[in-house]
Amino acid sequence: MKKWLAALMMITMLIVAGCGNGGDSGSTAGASNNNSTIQKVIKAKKLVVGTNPGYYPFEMVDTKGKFIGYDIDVAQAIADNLGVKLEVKQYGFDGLVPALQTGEIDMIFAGMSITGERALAVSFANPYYKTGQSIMLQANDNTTKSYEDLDKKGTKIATQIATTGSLLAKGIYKNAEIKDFEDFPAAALALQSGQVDAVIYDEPAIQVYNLQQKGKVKKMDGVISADNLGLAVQKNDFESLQWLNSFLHSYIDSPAELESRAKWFEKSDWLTTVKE
Amino acid sequence: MNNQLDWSVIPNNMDVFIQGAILTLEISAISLLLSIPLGIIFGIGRISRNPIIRFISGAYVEIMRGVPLLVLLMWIYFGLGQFFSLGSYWGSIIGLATFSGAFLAEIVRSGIQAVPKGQMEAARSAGMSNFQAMRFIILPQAFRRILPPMASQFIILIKDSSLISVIAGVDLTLKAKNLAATSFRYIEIWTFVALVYFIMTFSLSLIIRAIEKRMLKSEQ
Repeated sequence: MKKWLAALMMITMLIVAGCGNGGDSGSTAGASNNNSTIQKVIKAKKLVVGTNPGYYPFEMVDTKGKFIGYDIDVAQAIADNLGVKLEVKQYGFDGLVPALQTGEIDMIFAGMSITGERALAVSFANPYYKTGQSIMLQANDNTTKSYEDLDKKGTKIATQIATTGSLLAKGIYKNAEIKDFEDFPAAALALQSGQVDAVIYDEPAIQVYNLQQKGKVKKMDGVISADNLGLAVQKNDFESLQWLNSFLHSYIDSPAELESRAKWFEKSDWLTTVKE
Repeated sequence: MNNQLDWSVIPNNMDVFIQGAILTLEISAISLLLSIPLGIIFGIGRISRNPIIRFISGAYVEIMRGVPLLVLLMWIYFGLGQFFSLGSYWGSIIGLATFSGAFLAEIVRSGIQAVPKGQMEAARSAGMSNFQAMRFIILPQAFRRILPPMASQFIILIKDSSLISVIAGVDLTLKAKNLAATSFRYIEIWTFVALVYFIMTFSLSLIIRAIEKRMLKSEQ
């Protein structure tokens, strides 16, 4: 009965939303405190976060099927602070924003870079990690010294669809062909099987992959862009944003966070527990 | 659901949708053309008197039918791709054609088996060779029976082609994914993409229906 009602409401809202002509109906969702995600999470005693595993070392699936990684630690700390249970749901990277918009998940924990375009669709808390895009090459590639060297006809560059790396590559390369894959492991596999000449992706993931593959690929030194990663909540959910910012101020550089950072970024023993 | 629908993303990016639709049509059409001979060869092979041919044909059909297309595409691209430089485009086409070919083979086999045995016996006793009987007597009759299930298979092929984005194959789906990733107008974009796929598949069914009608007429 309840499901019926929810479905009916969804359809009605869709129709109303479709008929409206940009008036004021968009502002009501975030303004009222009772509707904030944080309140909803506390009431439901459950925090549901969406992620896209494969982004080392932020989110992975271990051999037992459990979600692990730096982001998962942050999510668990948030759930602990709120006194609720944590549920992690898996999506394609391009499916995360719609999942958040429709309320399937409460927050996005996917090492998502903050961009102006994305901020039109969702709202980001303050950055919690600073990184950048870097380039991964085939191990025997001795000719590519800078990112400009790749901009040649016939050169293929793999990225993950909808990521900042993909958008960046399409912006800086005029002659090379950009190929969008579903996730980073697929793009990396395309490099290793000789289908593409380079992969552009976030630096930490490339570093970890390099470590894992032990010399079968190589990373070009440095980064070619700056990315600030942020947690996303529904657009204009100010109470949740405020709470997340306060939480991040207390969490970052805390002993728990330092331990988590050391575990995922400095050590590599967790690699053996991750699905290949 | 605090987002209002804004359909302007569709006309503003019509060129992207058209490019994508052309790519989808192109890849589907080439795969379709390649899958027809595969279907006929392996369909006949399934009922061959030679046990080796029968075994090979049976194995092809069962393996292809049993493997998800997604996995097949990845095998071809990441696996075969290490030995032959196929690229996303030809990798996609080979994957779709071999996958669809297996289903067509079963359709062709059942079509041939549905032609009464007497037809073959009559053709053979009229002095035709096995090949001639197949070519002039059996296949034309079987073709009429298999046209409707074949049409369904072709429609499935067009829709299946949306999976090639797993090996970075560029088509309507990938173009739409990219557009959705920058505009975040998911409902609008995917609704329109569904409409485009529907137009493609419905046109195909109309064409096949017209062929069916013509054949029915020529029979009378």
